[in-house]
Amino acid sequence: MRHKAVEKPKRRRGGRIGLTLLAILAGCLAFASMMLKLKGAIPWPYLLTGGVDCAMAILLAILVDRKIPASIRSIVPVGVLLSLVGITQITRIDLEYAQNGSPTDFGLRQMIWLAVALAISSFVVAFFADYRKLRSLSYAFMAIGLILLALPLVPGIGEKVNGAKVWVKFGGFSWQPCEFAKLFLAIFFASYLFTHRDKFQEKSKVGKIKLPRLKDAGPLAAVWILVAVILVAEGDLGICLMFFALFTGMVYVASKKKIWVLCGVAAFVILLFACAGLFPTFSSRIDIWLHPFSKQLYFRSFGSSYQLVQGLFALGAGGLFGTGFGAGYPALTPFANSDFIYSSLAEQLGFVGICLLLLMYLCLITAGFVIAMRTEDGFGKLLASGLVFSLAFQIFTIAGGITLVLPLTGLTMPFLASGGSSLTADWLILALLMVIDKSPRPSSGSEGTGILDLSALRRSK
Amino acid sequence: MNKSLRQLFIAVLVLFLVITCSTFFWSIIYAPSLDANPENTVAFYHEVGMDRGEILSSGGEILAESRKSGDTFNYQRSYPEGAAFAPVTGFFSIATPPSRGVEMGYDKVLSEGSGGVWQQKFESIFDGQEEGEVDVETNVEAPVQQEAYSLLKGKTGAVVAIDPKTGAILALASSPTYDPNLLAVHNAKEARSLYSSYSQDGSLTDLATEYLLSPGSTFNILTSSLALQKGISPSGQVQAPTTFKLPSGMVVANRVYYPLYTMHSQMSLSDAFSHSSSTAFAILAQKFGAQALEEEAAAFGLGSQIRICGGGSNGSAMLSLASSLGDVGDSENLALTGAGEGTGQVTLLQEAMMVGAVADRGTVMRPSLVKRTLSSGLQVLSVVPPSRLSSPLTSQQAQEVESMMESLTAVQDPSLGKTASVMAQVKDGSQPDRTDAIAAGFEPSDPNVAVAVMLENSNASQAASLMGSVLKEAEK
Repeated sequence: MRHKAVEKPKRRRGGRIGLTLLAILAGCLAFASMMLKLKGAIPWPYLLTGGVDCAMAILLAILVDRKIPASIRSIVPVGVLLSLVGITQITRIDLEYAQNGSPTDFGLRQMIWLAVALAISSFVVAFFADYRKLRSLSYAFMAIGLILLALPLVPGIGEKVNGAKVWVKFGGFSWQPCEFAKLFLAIFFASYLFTHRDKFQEKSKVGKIKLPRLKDAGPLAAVWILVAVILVAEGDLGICLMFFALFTGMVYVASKKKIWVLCGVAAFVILLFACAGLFPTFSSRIDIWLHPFSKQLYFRSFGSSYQLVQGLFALGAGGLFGTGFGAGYPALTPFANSDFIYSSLAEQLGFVGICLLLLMYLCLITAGFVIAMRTEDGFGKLLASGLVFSLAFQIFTIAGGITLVLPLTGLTMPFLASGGSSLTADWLILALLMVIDKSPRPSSGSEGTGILDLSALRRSK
Repeated sequence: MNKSLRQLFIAVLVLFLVITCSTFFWSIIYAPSLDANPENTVAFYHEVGMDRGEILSSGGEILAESRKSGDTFNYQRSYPEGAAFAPVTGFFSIATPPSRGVEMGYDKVLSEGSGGVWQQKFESIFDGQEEGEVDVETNVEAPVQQEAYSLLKGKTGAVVAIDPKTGAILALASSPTYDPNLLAVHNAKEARSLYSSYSQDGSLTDLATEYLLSPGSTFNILTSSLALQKGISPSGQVQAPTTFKLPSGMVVANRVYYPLYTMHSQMSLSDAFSHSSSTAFAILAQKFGAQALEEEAAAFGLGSQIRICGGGSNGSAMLSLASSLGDVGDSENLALTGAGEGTGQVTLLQEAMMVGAVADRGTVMRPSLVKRTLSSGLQVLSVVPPSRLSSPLTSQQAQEVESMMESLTAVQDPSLGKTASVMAQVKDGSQPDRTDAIAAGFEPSDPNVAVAVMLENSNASQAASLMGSVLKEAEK
């Protein structure tokens, strides 16, 4: 696969903006038809914020086009479409809550948050010239990440929701700092691993087993353990699992040593069993995973399998094509608009719709991997691969938890689930990925600006 | 680093394949089993949005129907006769899957129509038409039910009317009760809060089938049937002292004044019956022994739950509570049971069945609320055939009990005329200062209806006059 020295890549401006417009059109059609079916009209706050969202999405697309013309074109449109599908579903569930006599406005709030997230992303794309500067601040980022992670433990501002203490209340609104902690710690890890990369490929022998040297692994393991301790104290193993995936993925990419993956998995399994033994919340999660349909577990008042089983009922009710937006009864599952949006979407859109959503995710993830592979900068490579792998693993953990592949965790579905902090953090990841794509690429690598340039994934030479 | 990145990407592809497969499993492969799970409120909500068959009275009056509604559920269940027929229809609410009456017993028939739900969904893809729904016709005679309900209004009590020859339930009324229309509202919050308050205050309970009462002297039907089988004729003399002392020191005493009590310690079986002599039946029960009494009770249907309608492929069966003798192994309790003061407890439906056995020449028919199912074109799809439960009496013995019941009416409530009846005033176990009244009987000239009435905090003559009114209405 040798390429001729390629001239300057063709700038195909129309593509990204056109695709974004298409995504907006599809999302708005879904939203409008759902609203018109259930309410007969679209109230003006929705029209207004929706208009702002669309304008912000177009602005982002234009900015990316100007600043990073060579970046992968599918990222912004797919992100926009996923966010709009999420908003449609959250609003649809709001309407059902209203029908049941307790109106909520999560949909409208999500729309406002989308505007905020798009604005932040636009800012990053427009003004963040060189992400490599982040490396110089990596230890500060580590500190900020750990502080953010520990924030919910501070009495007074920490909030306990659904058994886990991962929320922080500031003034009027709550947010989940761990979403941002993930970003900061990812930057620290990428930077540390990049600096110490060579040493990681050495090893010391203990008997016949080759182990990484303690000297190199020490600081990393220390942060790792600290993160685990904080998250266990907060009672959230799901986020803990996501962090483990982030670190393990990054270390594997940096060192090429499978032993690190084994270490990570072993550490997590040990942690899991320790927690199951120590805390009843965790062992009850395992119980309901193993016996979801047991009557005793279904009807017990604390830690019952009710939500899990209701989610499965919703999946079954959706069948192949789903009921369609506006029909069905997606609000019957508790937390149908956040933790269980996967199953409520399965009821509305059916298995086919879920496959399309998973394909959209895969599109973003592939784009992330392509970016990681074609960038020459090792720090950017590690950062991109860590972020994108943790995103993929998060999706797997949630969908796997709902469909009983894994025990249920309290993670939220990226872009879809109701929640401002995760939506903002997810868009920030996309913005970072696109910024990383700005960095120099190997000259013999791919230069294409295709919708999804897959050539980087091919084995070179 | 790109090599390990590529491996990581393949790992992600595998993870996505896993969740696609697991979603496919629950959404498609396992979906029918999920749909059939009784806890599946999601599937139930989908059912709420479907057209549902009608419930009809024996004369064809509509007791429950689904009307087109403008909201998300498409159809609104409504009960034109409201609370009067609540124990018959049950209710169809968003608050809970059907749990009472014909709505529960024939849930599957009413909701699925002639095909299954899945078959219907599948077929409607091709022809765009929904399969015709199936209506359920009950045995309930609307005028009798209305009369019973209006007589019960403001009181606490219940009325059961059955056709002794077929077991058809002609009326099943209970008061206080509930309006099923209020529970059928589509506002889930309202429906749920009403449902939970009804569940707590007992409005949902059907006092005719879900409430156990002490049988009192109505139990004498059972003991005298046994006496007739043991060769004692109605004119045969039985011991009937004024008081009868039990080993523990407890005393059974005759309550109804009878001049012969003071002079003789014995009287005829017929006199003992018509004067409801507690001592006579206490002594008889002790004489026959626990085993004989238990066998006779079982022959009348005591000891097991009575299926009122449904079950099997129709829906969950609507069952009455099981009546029982209590622990008659204890000889003292055996005597008290004979006197109607033991631990035995019966449903009002069981009372109607006992009286019905006398009216139907000694045969107990299985009670049945539903007559048949009809297609929307009024074509008969299935019929519930009358079915015999047992024959505790011979025809001869039944006639002898009948004449003893007639003389009881003449002695205790002559205003009822030639009705054959039993009546009792019993102490309520939980509230000793309150007496509940039971009356059950039929017209020997027209033994096609047997009526049993229970009134809380009342006396036997009120219950008897209510019974008389219902009998008159039923004979029209």
